[in-house]
Amino acid sequence: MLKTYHYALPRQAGSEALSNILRAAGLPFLCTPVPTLERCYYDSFDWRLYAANLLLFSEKSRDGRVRLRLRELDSGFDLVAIDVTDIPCFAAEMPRGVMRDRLLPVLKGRRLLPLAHLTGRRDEFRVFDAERKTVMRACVERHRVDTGDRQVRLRERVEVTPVRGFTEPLHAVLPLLERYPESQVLEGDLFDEALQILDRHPLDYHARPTLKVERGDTVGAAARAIFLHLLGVIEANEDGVRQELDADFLHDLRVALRRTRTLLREMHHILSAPHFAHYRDEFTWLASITGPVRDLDVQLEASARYADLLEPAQASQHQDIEALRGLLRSQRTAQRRFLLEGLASSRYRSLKKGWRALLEAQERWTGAECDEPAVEAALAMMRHRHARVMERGEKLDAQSADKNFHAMRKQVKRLRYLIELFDGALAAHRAHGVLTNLKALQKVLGEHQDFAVHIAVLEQIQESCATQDRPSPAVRVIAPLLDQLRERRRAVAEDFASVFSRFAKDEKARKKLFRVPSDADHQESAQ
Amino acid sequence: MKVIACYNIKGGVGKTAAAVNLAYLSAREGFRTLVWDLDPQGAASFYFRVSAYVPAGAEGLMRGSSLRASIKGTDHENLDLLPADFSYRNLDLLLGQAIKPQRCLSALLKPLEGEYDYIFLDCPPGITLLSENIFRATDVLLVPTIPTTLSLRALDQLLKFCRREGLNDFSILPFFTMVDVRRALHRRIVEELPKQIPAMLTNFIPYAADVEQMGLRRSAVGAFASQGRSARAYEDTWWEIKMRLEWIEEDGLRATYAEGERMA
Ligand SMILES: Nc1ncnc2c1ncn2[C@@H]1O[C@H](COP(=O)(O)OP(=O)(O)O)[C@@H](O)[C@H]1O
Ligand SMILES: [Mg+2]
Repeated sequence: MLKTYHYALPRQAGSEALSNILRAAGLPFLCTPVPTLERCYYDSFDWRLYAANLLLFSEKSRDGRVRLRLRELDSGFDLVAIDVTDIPCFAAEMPRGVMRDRLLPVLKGRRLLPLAHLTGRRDEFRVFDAERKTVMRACVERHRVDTGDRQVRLRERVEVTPVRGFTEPLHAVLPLLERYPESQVLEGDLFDEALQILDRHPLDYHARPTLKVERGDTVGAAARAIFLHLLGVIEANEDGVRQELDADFLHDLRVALRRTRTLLREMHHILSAPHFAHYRDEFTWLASITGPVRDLDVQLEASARYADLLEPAQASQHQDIEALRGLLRSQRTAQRRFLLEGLASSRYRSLKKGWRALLEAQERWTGAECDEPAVEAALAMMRHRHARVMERGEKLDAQSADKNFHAMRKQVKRLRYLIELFDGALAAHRAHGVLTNLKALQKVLGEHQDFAVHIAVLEQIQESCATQDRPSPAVRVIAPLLDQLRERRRAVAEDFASVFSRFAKDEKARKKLFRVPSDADHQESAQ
Repeated sequence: MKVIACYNIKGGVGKTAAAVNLAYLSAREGFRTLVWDLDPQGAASFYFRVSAYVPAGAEGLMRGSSLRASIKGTDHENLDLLPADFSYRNLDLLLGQAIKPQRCLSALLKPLEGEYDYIFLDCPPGITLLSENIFRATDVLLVPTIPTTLSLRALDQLLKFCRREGLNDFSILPFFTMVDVRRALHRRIVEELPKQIPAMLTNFIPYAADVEQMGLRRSAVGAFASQGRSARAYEDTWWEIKMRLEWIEEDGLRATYAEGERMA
């Protein structure tokens, strides 16, 4: 594979040493110094670029020019570079072109956050052949990283990059670099080194619990570990919610919260009754202050496509939709104030503090209830939840009220969380069949719920406009939108029956899921 | 992956200049770009300072296995070259022996799907078995045309040939090159013809010393005279080609070809 090779040479001798090596190898070259540069690396909060093997950084040169570069992480090859005036916060804000095309599907709506600021300089080398064709590139990078209170020097590194189809100079130079006194092969990019100094760890954020419940774990220990992880996720996203960096912070926080509430309910017996009641109420409160903004986020996103619902929408309707979106936005502003107050409240602080103290007090997670094996307990919970899902599902039909669909959706979600949380203990391949059908079920119910929420919000706006003297022009477009949305909700409700029956009929997958796993299962899943 | 062939029955009309300069622009925008220098004379290879030599020769390439190994990086990021080789002069013979003589080139390019965004074919002149392979492998046939009566006849011949052979699943985009705006005939043809052939690009490449300089500089004009008239003209042309590709994608491939037929 074509890739960039990294070396550290002793005593900041890079450029001179490299020049000598190239001369010794008899390779003609040109060296161009690039004076002071400011370099900054970016990724999303959840490391989407890193996970996609991409590295994005900006380089500001002394003349003020800013160049944004996208590099393949493992090969070190540059994919695209563009000149920008400002660093875009979102991929969607980038100028049309390859950079945007590459980043948008990876980042989606996530904001680019600066990860590491570097200042330094670089000497660029080009090695030629007799035709003065570039047959190899190299550079010597000398940088410091800003840790906030000081500048830490990074190791000077020599980077050698071959040109496709020209391997000879590479084969001549690499051994010389390796043999150079005290030289060292470096694994990883400048970026990795900078992160190490900043004590940042790529992929250290996971919205989903990554810990796997093992056989032999007790319910108490497993619950405690999962709760701690989820609390960590809530806390990690707080700041992004407060600063409103992007909509995913609130989303992730809400998911962690919902999982916490699900698990709390399932495991109420391992907590003391007053503890359970207290945290159940407090987390319900937290859900109530975070919910409306999230709902409006979803609504606002969907409202961008309202015009499609009315196809062909008339020009005046476009204006009315804009007015409607304006109303939604102002509702969101009001709800956000409420959310921020909540996050700044002592009630929230003591919720977190108390919950963490409880989770960290190991002795509280032992005792008869807590010491049961986690796997059996999880299976019991799942069986119970599964029975609820079946019960509710059988009663639902296309005519059922929204609230019954909603209740069904909650049951399905709880079952899904349980299966996912105890994935490791269940042996993942076994849960797979049920999960597939469950996901399909969840999708239908999710769509139904989305339409129901939309309809409820629009109905509420319609109602409040009815009492006003000069209602917003938005009211005109609400009625036709409601017609469309109700129609769609009905169609989804009709789909439900067939999806549910597929889920209900899958006896085999269910039996597999509910069987207590044997050692053989575990060996199989470990492979 | 889109394949763009720079083709004309005639030689010396600016095919190679177009392939090299447009590919350079494509790569500069970040598209992964390959130029295949199919002309045994190796002009494109020369411009990229790569020797017109493929160790496996035309025969080796035709077997497909050594295609990737023969690709060379150019001096520009994202821009690779599959060099010419003197043995390409026997391509027609080799193609003739293949099982599907007219579809060899498509088969050879297929594995590069996913590796490149644009592949430019710099074609030799003439209507040969190789050209038929090119017509079947390409998404777009860019036809650089000098605004003279003889060149227009060649364009006409090409359109007729394609119609006769039922070759209509690619777009023929002719455009003018080496336009000398001081000459009345050039001016008239450049103004009039696009009205008759809607497929014709509206941008054209002027006759410019920068393009001639490419031989001395051995590089694309954008790399040594990026602010010059000709570099700008290639930029505008490249922009127009991308626009046309978008339209073609939306409206179906045949639109531009059918329009091109009208002049025939
Ligand atoms: N726009 C132009 N202005 C001036 N000279 C040109 C221009 N385009 C091409 N040439 C010159 O004309 C000659 C033929 O061009 P080339 O691109 O090699 O044509 P082809 O590939 O069609 O044979 C070359 O010497 C080239 O430098
Ligand atoms: Mg040529």
